[in-house]
Amino acid sequence: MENVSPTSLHNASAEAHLLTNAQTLNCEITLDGFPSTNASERRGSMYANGAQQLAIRVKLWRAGGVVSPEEWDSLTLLYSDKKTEVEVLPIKDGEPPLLAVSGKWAYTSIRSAVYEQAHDGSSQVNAEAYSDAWTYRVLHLHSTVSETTGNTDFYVCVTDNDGTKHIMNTQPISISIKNQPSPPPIGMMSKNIEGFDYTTDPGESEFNETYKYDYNPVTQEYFILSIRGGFITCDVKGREETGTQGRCSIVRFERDHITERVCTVTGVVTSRNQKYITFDPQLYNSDFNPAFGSRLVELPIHGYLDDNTIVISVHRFNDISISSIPENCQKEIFGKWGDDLTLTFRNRQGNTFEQMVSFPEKKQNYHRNALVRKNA
Amino acid sequence: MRIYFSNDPDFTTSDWYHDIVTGSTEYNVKQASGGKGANYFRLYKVPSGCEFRLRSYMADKLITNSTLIRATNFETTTGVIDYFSLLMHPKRAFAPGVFKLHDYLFLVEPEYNIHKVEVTFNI
Repeated sequence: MENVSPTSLHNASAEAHLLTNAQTLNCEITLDGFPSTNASERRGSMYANGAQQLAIRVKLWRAGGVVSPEEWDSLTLLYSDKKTEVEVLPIKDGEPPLLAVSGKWAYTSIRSAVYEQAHDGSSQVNAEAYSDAWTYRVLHLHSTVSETTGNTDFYVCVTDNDGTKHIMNTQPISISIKNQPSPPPIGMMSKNIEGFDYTTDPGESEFNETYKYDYNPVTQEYFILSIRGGFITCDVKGREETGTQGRCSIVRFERDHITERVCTVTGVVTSRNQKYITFDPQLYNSDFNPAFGSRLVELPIHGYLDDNTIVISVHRFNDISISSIPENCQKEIFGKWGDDLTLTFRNRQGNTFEQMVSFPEKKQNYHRNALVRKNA
Repeated sequence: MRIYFSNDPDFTTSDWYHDIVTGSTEYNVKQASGGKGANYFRLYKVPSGCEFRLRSYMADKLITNSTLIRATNFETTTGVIDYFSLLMHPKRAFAPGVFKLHDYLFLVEPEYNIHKVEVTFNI
């Protein structure tokens, strides 16, 4: 009897008791992202929130022949009772597989980029080697089981051409559920874009941080939020709003007064493909348009958006006349439009986290210059 | 919303002041001081956009030294400002919240005391 093993793990982990002749099916199971020096151990962990796929890599081979397509397709995953099959998530066109029910296990045959690949602390995730893809299949495990349930064991089962079921008893898979990761830290920095030409001469006066706003009345500045580890979606809304999306601009006049012309409007850039800065669409509609419309149309984005960042652009004007819009709109602008924005991020680890950004309270110096981050 | 005047370089507050109201106003500093005018002034909670033209007259009242400043903070409060230094300053940032827009200096027989202030605040 001669076996050709694709890896040195074979002797220790193959289902040796199944071997009777050269036609015997050999099997080796590994977990991507959980490298182990102990060949008999297959321990992995997943978040409880359904945001991950854990790749169970199953290699099948025969010394004296091929593994038939039927045999490959007979691969199933069993619970520890070795009878109950783990549910298979259906693959729908254009949709990532989704385990919607909580407290469940399931697996699917496709890797979906929507999910993070489960891995241990070393973050060593196996690169898929397509050149020898015929030697393995990957079962992508999903879980929505809560972290208090302890380890869950699984077994791989394959039915050979003779119709004999082989349960890989000596290669159990043990999966634990770990705490959902904490939301990543968010950083903020600012970048002067336009209009900051006034700088003090040496000895002109003692340098003061506020001079760049005091003596440059018309400016454009980017406040760049960086989210460690990145994010999938970012929704913007006003503090006063419920739902996911809403007001995406802050408007602050220097004074909430009908003759005021000095004003700040903010916009957002949340996508790298965006060509122009996004302002709240309401600022373009007929009632608000006389004051803001023409000033905010197709403002280009300066420079490039870095990975994992969004930009809130702060535009300061000295000639936007609030008196050009109806009184009810003025009231609205002087009211909620000056309030904070709430940014809601969702990332691949399944976290949803918020960041509030705001100007300092009204009626004080510098209340429409620099954005600050605020905890909810 | 006040401008305080004094001839003491270290003053913090003074009975000698002019309250700022909306629109344009004038205040005769020389008259209020009994003829000499003020060497120093302070701005107290002056709204952004408010402008001051500070004038000093020659004896014949025809030729003046003058300067125009604008408050740039929401509520501009300054320390003691020396009128002579302000006159000699380039047309730029003078102090946090004080921007010098313009000056007119007639330096023959110079007079460096504030004799009159014209305030413009349009909100």
